[in-house]
Amino acid sequence: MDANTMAQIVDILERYVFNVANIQGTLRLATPVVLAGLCALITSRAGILNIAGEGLILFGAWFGVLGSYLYSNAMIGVAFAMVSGFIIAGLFALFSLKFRANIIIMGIAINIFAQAATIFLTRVVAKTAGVFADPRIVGLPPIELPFIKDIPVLGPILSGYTAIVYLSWALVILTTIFLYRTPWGIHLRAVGENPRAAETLGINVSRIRFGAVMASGVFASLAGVYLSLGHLTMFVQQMSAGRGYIGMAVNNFGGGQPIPVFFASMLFGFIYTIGWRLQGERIMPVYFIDMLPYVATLVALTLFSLRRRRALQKARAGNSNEED
Amino acid sequence: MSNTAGALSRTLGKFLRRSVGIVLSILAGVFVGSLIMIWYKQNPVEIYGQLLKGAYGSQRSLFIGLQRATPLIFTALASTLAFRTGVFNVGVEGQFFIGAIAGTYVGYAFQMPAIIHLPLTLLTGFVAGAAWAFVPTLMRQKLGVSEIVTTIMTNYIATFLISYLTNYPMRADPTTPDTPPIMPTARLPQFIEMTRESANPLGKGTQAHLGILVAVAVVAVMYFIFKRTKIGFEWRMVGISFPFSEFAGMNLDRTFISGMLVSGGLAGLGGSVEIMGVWREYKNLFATGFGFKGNLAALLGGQSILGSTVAALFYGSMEAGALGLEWSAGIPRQLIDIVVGLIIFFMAAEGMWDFVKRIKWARAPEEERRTTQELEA
Amino acid sequence: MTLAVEMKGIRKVFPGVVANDSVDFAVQEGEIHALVGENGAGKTTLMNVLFGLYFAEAGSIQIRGQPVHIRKNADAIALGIGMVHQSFKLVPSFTVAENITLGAEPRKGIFVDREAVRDSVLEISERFGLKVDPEARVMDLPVGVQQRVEILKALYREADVLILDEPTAVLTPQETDEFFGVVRSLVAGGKTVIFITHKLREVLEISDRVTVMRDGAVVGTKDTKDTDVAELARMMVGREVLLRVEKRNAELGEIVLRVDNLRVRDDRHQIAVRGVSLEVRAGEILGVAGVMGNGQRELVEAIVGLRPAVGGTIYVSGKEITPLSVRERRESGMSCIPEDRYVRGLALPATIQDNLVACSYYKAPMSKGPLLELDTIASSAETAIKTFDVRTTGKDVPAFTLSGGNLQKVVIARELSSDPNLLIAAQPTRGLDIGSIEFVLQRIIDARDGGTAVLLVSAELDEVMSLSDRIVVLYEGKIVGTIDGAHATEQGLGLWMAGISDEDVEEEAKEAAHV
Repeated sequence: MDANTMAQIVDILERYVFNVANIQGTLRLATPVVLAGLCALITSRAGILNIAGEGLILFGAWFGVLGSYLYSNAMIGVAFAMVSGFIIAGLFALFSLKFRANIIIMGIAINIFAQAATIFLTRVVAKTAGVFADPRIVGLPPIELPFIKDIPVLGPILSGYTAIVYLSWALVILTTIFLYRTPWGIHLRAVGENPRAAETLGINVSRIRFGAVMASGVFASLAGVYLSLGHLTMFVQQMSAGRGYIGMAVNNFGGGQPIPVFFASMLFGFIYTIGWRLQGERIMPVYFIDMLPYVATLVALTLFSLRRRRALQKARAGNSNEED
Repeated sequence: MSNTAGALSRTLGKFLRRSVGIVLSILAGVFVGSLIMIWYKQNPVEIYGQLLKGAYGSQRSLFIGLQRATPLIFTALASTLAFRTGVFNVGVEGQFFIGAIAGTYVGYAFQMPAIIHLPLTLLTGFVAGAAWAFVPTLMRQKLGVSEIVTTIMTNYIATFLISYLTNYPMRADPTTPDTPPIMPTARLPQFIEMTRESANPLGKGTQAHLGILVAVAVVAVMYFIFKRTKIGFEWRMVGISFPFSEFAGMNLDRTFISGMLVSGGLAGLGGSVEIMGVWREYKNLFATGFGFKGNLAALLGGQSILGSTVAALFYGSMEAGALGLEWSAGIPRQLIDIVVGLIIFFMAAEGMWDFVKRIKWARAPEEERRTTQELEA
Repeated sequence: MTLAVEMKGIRKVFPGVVANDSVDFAVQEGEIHALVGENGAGKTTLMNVLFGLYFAEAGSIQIRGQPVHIRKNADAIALGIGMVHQSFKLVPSFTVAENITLGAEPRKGIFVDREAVRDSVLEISERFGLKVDPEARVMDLPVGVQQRVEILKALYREADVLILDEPTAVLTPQETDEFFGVVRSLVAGGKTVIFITHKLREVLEISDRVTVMRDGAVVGTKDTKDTDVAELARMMVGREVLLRVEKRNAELGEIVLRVDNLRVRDDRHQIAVRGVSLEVRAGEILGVAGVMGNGQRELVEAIVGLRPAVGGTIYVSGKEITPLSVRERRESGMSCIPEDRYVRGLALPATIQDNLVACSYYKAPMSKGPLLELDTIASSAETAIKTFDVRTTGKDVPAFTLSGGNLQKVVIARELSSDPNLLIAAQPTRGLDIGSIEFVLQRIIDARDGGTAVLLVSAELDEVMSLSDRIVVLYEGKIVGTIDGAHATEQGLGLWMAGISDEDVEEEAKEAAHV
């Protein structure tokens, strides 16, 4: 290997892997995916097929901007977003669980509805089409953690993010504790795996499902308000850009466990960051870079399914050797 | 015999019972819509009145309604076909655009007599849409991956791919990302173009085009296929009960795959028709939501071929009305989407229970099967 | 001795069938009481009433002499009744301890007190001698241990009366012995055990008293030491054969179906069919008797093509069909009346016509090229409805409007319309009224007289005996006996169905002679 190739390789490593800005970007851009993943996780662990994440994110983004716009305060915006997630997810739960509507159709309906409603509301409130921006809107400020920021190397990687980023990390840990250490989390997992077992033991299956859906609404709305107040400081139509579905995919990859889901989301954060990087480099037309997260989802789903099939086959073969 | 009278009254009763749900849902949706209007400081009765006038009040508005309904008919049919076969095609949006761009290319890149060019362009749209549905279908049948997530991913990929195409290889003009216009031989004539010279010009001030006839023809063909062909029978039966169809000997894989591919093809055909009739070059249509509105119309129409078509026509006329409303009262036209969305919410609450079971079967064949015992107990 | 449980006059009705008809049932405290009967006798229903999962239309229940009202499951649990069902209600990914304490976890603040969970599980495990590892994951455990977990679940909730539904159905012989040890230690610990079974050998080995049920009523209760398998078998299956079906002598032809050492797995990936071999000739009815759950479903599904065989081969008219698809097998002359009428045999939301034509639509005369010949389809549907006397308002009504008997007629009409060489009839009369039963059985005989080879798989003994030219009995996936229809007795078949082979009977006779 000659000196030139070495230099090239080092250069690539420097620019794409060992790069503080990239790592920061990865952590930041992973945040909405982490939250979307938790949204999918909490409902899937309760045995509910929730595809309304996309719409809930969009609503969260919009109401977050509304709150900040009305009160020029980012935290109020976040509060607005969370309440919207709670309420809309509550309606979703009501129709799907109580009124026995087909949950897949309800999810699709919510997503379509969210697109139309957010555009409509933007036109009503901001009198513009498609973009809700205004100097009155206050975004989330970056937070510097007092001692951590001074640690060499790790400091800038761990400090300086907006509140929701840190909140998402906390939520990953809290969700893990909830699911595995508290009675309600254990009941939720039981309801998801074997609702009849849970029912015969006196667990209120309906209440748990409702709670799971509403929690997922709050997670999704946080993802949305992060996009509109943390990442940008405005609402753009369709800004969720499929993250609700990508959240479902990372939940799949993470096997429904919060910490693996977190790391799977990191992968997507990395892809988003790389995409942004590559745009600057002018290697290929920007549109292929934009495609990356979605193509990545397809590829990852394929690999994941293949691996799972192979593992199942191996387990089956192992079993059959023990037969008479 | 009293048997026939009995049968008739029973069928009527069932129809009425089912319609009650639909009527109530429409009323509920309209009611909530009124609340929105009141909040917007408008009189709901006036608004709905203007809406209806805008939709049906003049020849012009009827034509606008037809024009707006045309793409929706295609996407609603695509959605319906998939649903009836037992799959969810949420990628109708992307397949529509891919069909549109493919049709555009064939439309401007070739010179041939209209008698060949027109059908060829239509066919291209169909094939392109079907091809776009291929990967999600394959992933579903061979890998067991839910087609909901995969089809939506293909939507996003489609929009970016098309942006690339219109910005680079298919670009006509260095200043704007537009494609060259399609040849006159590949265009679907608009009514006003055909009747401009005559005493009674049709569709003045609108872009209504012959694509509506193509749409109607496709509806007829789909209806025929479902009622009178082997593949239509298989689509129907597999969608109704796949354990039964498997027992009877039908090939499930082939049925699901063909259903999805034709569904994608219909969406792609719709995209091509829209370009050929209205725009005559590829314009950025992404924000128009043809696919999702088609999904909504299919839901409204109860996932039947004729019902979806009627719903699409209705949706189209409502859009025409909403456009008028926008000009006169300044109410954003998304209001219609919202009201329709609400109606769907209420309709869905009727409980399409069977459908969920079908989906469960498609996901995990190892799961516990419902037995006759459970049914008898 | 006080009565732990006394049920009087219990009546439980489901649409179309009286599951429990004025049943009296009493269990003494501290005894092991066996509740015995064929499928559909009403044993599980009765116990579900006791456990609060069903609510009886009439009757009373007394627990330890006190009249009680059991309206829901929680009431029964509060009264100290616990039940372990045939299909376990365990959460697979949870540990043993988590499953046992689910819903009633000891807490430490807002968290679950994991130590207390483990300790309390170890404590009751020790007290009743049910060895389990609290930290093991349930899905990794063998079925015998899972059953112990279910029992501990009931004990954790302080059950005094334990109902076990077919507990040994899923156990190997060694696990069964261990299980008996568990039952004995439970009783030693002061519990009362009721167990439902159809395996008479086990009844004799472990129980103190046994109650036999048949067709929703109690036939009798005996002290186990005062009875034997023969008497129990007679009580279990003896009934007047109401059916008088005309049957000519069989005119046998070539071998149509040959099954060679077939091995098939069930949904839980266990081997359900363990090397079954059989032959059916044209013009012959081979009856496969046996209590449901002994591999019949898997056997039929493997022959039809819905389930892969993991070993062995299947031949139809000399041609190997093991690798063929369902349609290819049907093309070779096979038809099937499936066990799962409403899931496999019919598409309930579809029209009767659709249901009738689903196996023949793709070829002439029902279709020409890609198109269906709607007129031919319609007229053949109408003919079928008339020939098979299907009571309906028309061929275009959805199937779910029909009664059970009429639905089975539709299935039969479709399956016989292809004039099959081989007809497989699986539980063809389950859930039907007398009139429909006779119709179905007559049609099967007609098919046989017309030269069709018939494989009749049924848990209804009198049906098998009336119809079959030859009978085999399936028990735990194996054929345990073959006999000519003419020489078969209820008693003999009942013994085979209960897992008692001829050698066992000889053994008992010898022992009895030495007493």
